[in-house]
Amino acid sequence: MSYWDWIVLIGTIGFIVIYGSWKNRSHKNIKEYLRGDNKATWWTVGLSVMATQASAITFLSTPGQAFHDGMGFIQFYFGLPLAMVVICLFFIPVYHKLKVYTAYEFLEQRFDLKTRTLTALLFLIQRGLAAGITIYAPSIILSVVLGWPLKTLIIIIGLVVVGYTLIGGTNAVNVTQKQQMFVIFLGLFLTFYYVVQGFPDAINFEKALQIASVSDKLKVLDFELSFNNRYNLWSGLTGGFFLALSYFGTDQSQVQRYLTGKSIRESQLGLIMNGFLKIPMQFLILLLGVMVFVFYQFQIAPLHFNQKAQEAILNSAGATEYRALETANKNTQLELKELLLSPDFFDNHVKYEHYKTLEYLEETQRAQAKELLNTYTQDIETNDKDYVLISYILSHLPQGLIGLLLAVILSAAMSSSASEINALAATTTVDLYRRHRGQYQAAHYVKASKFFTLFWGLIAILFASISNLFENLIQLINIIGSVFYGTILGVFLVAFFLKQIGGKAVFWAALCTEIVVLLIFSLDLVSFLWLNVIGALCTVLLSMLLNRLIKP
Amino acid sequence: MVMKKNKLRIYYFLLGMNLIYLILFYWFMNFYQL
Repeated sequence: MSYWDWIVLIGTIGFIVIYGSWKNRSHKNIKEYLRGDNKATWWTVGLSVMATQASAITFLSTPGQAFHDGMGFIQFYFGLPLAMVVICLFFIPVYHKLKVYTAYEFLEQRFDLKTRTLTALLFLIQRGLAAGITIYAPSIILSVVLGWPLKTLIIIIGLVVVGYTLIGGTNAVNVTQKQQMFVIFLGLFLTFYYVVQGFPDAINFEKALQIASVSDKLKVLDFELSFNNRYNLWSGLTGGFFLALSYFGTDQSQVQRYLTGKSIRESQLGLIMNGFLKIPMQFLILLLGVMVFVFYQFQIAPLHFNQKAQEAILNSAGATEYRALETANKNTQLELKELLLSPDFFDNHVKYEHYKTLEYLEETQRAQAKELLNTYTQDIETNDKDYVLISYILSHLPQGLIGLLLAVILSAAMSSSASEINALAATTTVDLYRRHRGQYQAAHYVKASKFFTLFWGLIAILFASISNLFENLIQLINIIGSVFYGTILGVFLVAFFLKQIGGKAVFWAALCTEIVVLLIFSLDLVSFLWLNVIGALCTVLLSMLLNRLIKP
Repeated sequence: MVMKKNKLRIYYFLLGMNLIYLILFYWFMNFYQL
């Protein structure tokens, strides 16, 4: 990294953080600190909701996914607009009317205290663990590619986020997220421009799309109904709908974002904005990955994008074998390039068939490289999809822009974790502390919220720091997420749509469902993504049944 | 009732727009097919 990169990186992040905390440094009560005094306009709400969902992994992993497997991942987002409509019509009016701080507060008014406490605790466990990963996941990638010490990176990101969230509360999170989204979009468009600029003269954007199509990267939609293929339109519509409904409707890190809206209408418009922009935004990110793929058709791409993994194998007993494979792969890439640049490639069937054979060979060589890594190295991530974009950025973008792109990744990491820490603090203060110790003055609860912000921030940093000690921690946390998410959504669905069901029935239904879901999970009966749907439906059906048996 | 219909218009628009995205993607993936 050059001086220019450092100046752009520190300047961008520094300005966003200092401006956000300075503008929002004083608060009289928790309405200001946790709900931003309900001053946010619809576009602030919309950008904040989008910034919360877009974590650093979205920008690092998604283009890599398109690079390897094409653009089918976008289908997962087709359930989202439907979920936005349900939340706008049924959830937001109730939350606003009851003037709640957290989604779980509504559950006490609808059911009883124990249901509220149960769901709040489930949220705290799940989000408390996930907040650490939001910081850890980009830190590990940046530490590998930049050679920065992992722990230092985690502590710096963590402390900066805790700093501005603690000083400025929800409003600081909103203000910083607006600027972070601006930086993110600017970085994305500039990278896109540079990738396309880097094509050879004979290749324009349209030709690039044709090349991508030859390699099946543009297969956006898959209409075939299949349970084995994770991404098809039907699983996207149903699975995506349930996931978006639980995430945006019942997860406090999102609910708190739209509760800052000036009115019901502003909050609704914010979510509608999310419904309009989400799919095009993901499309752009995936298309960027596809363009990087086309770019590497004319440059020699590394055999494995994780530089550290390459270094590890070259220092092992497998070095000779790996070098031989590298040379073979380089030759295959050169042949592919030559074929693509031949003027009659798109009209010549023989050349096209030859290209497909070579492409298959190239993919096999990459798979062989991964096998070699598995055999000769230990504790090395062999899946390199998270490293594709960052590796392109560091080797092909001009000075200054690298700094901006690192600011994009850090902005995305900070915007997500700020919302999470803010929501964890709000839930702990409002649903646990104030609910049971309600005798203090308003200023006391602002202090308590600040204390809990610091507490959860430190927990997140701690979890992020020890994450590398546990091999499968990230997956474990994702699983914990799906194990609890369905039940929480089920409780909310009963609350909103089955007015005759009381607290006792729903509480026991939720507990029984949790046991059933854990059982299904431990017996490994279905993919963990389906646990969400099963959890929600089981809670709803069981509460209907129990309501008949238990007289409230 | 008229008021309610007006309020719902934006949701129809949102869903319609996403349907258009779907159609555009379908066109997009077939247009560049060789």
